[in-house]
Amino acid sequence: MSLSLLSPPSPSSLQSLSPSSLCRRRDGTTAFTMLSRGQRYRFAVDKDKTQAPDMLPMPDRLLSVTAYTTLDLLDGEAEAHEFTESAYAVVNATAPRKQPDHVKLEVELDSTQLEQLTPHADRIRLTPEEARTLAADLEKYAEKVDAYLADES
Amino acid sequence: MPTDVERWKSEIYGNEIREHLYRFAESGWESIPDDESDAWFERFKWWGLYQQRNGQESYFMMRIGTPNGVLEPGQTEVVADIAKEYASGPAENPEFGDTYVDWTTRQSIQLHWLKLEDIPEIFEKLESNGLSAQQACGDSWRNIVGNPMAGKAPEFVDALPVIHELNDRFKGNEDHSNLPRKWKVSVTGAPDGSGQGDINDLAFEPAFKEIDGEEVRGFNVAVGGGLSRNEPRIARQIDVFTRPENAADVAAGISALFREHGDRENRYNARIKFLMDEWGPEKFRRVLQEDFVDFELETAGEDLREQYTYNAGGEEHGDLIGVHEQRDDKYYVGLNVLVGRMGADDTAELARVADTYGSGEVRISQRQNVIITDVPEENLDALLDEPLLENYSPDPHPFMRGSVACTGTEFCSLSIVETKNRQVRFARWLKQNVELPDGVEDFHIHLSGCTASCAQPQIADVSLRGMKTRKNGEAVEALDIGLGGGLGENPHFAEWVGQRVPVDEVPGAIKNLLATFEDQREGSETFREFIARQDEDELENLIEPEETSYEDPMMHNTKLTWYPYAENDSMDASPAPTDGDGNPLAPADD
Repeated sequence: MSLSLLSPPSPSSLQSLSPSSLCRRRDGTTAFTMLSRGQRYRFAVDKDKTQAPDMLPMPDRLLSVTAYTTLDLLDGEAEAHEFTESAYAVVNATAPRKQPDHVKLEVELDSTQLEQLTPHADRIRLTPEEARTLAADLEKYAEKVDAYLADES
Repeated sequence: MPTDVERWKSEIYGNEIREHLYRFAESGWESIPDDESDAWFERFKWWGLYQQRNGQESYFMMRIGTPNGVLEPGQTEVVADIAKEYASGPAENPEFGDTYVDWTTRQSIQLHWLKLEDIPEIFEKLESNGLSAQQACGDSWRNIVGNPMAGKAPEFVDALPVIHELNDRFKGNEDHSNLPRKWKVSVTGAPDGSGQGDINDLAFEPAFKEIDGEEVRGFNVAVGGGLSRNEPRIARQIDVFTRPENAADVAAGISALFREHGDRENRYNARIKFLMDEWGPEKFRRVLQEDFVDFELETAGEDLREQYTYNAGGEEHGDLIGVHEQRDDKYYVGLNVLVGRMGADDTAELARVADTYGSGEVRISQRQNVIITDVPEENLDALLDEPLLENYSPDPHPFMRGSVACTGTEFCSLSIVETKNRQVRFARWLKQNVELPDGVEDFHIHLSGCTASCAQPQIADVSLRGMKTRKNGEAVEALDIGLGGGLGENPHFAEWVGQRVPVDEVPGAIKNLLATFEDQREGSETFREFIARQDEDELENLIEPEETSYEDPMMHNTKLTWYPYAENDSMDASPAPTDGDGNPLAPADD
């Protein structure tokens, strides 16, 4: 097995490094990262490209983002029992073109800002009545926030 | 329940749209009933017309389909004349002036600011000169693409006769005029992969096969490629070989299969790539054989994919820029048109230069460039001395020749950021401020305004796609950044590694990316190879946005303007809708 330093080119103190987890690189070789004094050092471990399977591609956005998307720049948050993550988010309200029998509300947090959560989009199905209930609540609280902000300013 | 679009199409579609288009042109834009306008604007696409975006609603973009990008002698001048006479709007573009021609990634032509009232005259001028906007958009056979020098540069098999046959057979053909979705076809005879077949719905790629003891040259057939909707696909081989003379019959079978089996209930699922996902190539071939052709399909021949060098990550440009020899000892000269946009006067000059030194023919490439053909050797020096070539270089800087951009918020309803002018600014800044690593002469940066992917960002070294972010408390235009895409024997779509980089920090990010590449490069590895050996964390670390001397005057939300470059750009200041003379039909703000 060969070991080659990937970056940066000149490590200053290798003796105090602690290795992070091994990871497979896109060409099938294996690499690991070590941290020392805030500096990341990357090593390639195995140059045998024939053994490892292909890497999965980096995840693209799941939701299309065009001028028809409802909101393309929101502050989002995902809460789990073990962690909370914040990221920019896209929200889209629409109805399916095929049999538009429900309202579709979609949310996606930017995957590159997520450490814990697997990249994904959430989708909620609403009946027209539920969509109107949601819209009414959004209106109600929008007015409340408007009033508060007017008082503040 | 069928979609609205399918319902409109079932009522009136195809050739018959034309008489209605003429009727509305006669009675004026305002005569289109409000409750029918969505249906008519959808139908007009079939005749090459797209309504421009909000704030420009009485103006149209026209796409003119030129099969394989070939403009016959005299046609370039016609395009320039039409642009000058009809394609100027109420505001100027600061970079390109008030009238210009766009050469597109599908070897077509786009003109903007056209008024509905002028369409019949424009059609008559086009058609009397052998040009047409028929089926340039809409749910049917689009402009057929390939290597733009088909018939003149070296080829393994002649593609141009096949392209002409397909165009003649399927343009205006009632059996194929109403398909479930757009139908993009590539036919390539050159052995270098330059027809970009992999990203088309239907691709004919050069191959050979021994049949009855004789080696026959023809095409292997692949189906289901495409880049749109965050769902890029490489076309899949369906184990079919065809002789050139049978290609149209095979294409008719596949087009009919799509017509019958494509999803008409969900336009998001309608492209044939999704049917291919569902069926796989074996079932696709079986259904094609059993139900849609009345002859025995040949199994696939030997392809030439190992020889593919076009956009394959190596240092061979393949973009046909520069001076190259034709088969007949004459030469062709490929000129770089930055982001594919050329002023109308320059287009007229291009026509003159092509006529003076060549045969008058001009060809359009899939990298938004133009090629002057049929130049005798003795004319080359004089051609290369022409002032036109100072702006449209046959030997451009890599950042210039590598730039591709879609239409963007200037005109397009889908885009969320400014694109063409921005990519011009990016390319100029990069040329001034960034050194490419040794030996890197081919570096593609494609900018698309949204996920529709009209600039084909997924097959570039650096892929830029419109987004929004917040900077200093303000919402600003931003770009997602992808890396390492390209075609070749083993095509690979870009990895999307950076999200929402503010547009003014993108040139700095590219500068840093190239510095890291130079620093960490192993031997003479290509950028694509460098990207391919990175893990996910490493890839993300390659994106280091940075403010630099680059300044972006269009940071604000350009899609909310009526026209980004207008002196007063607010939506309320829009003159549209306007009448046939360009006068506002209603007060700008009431």
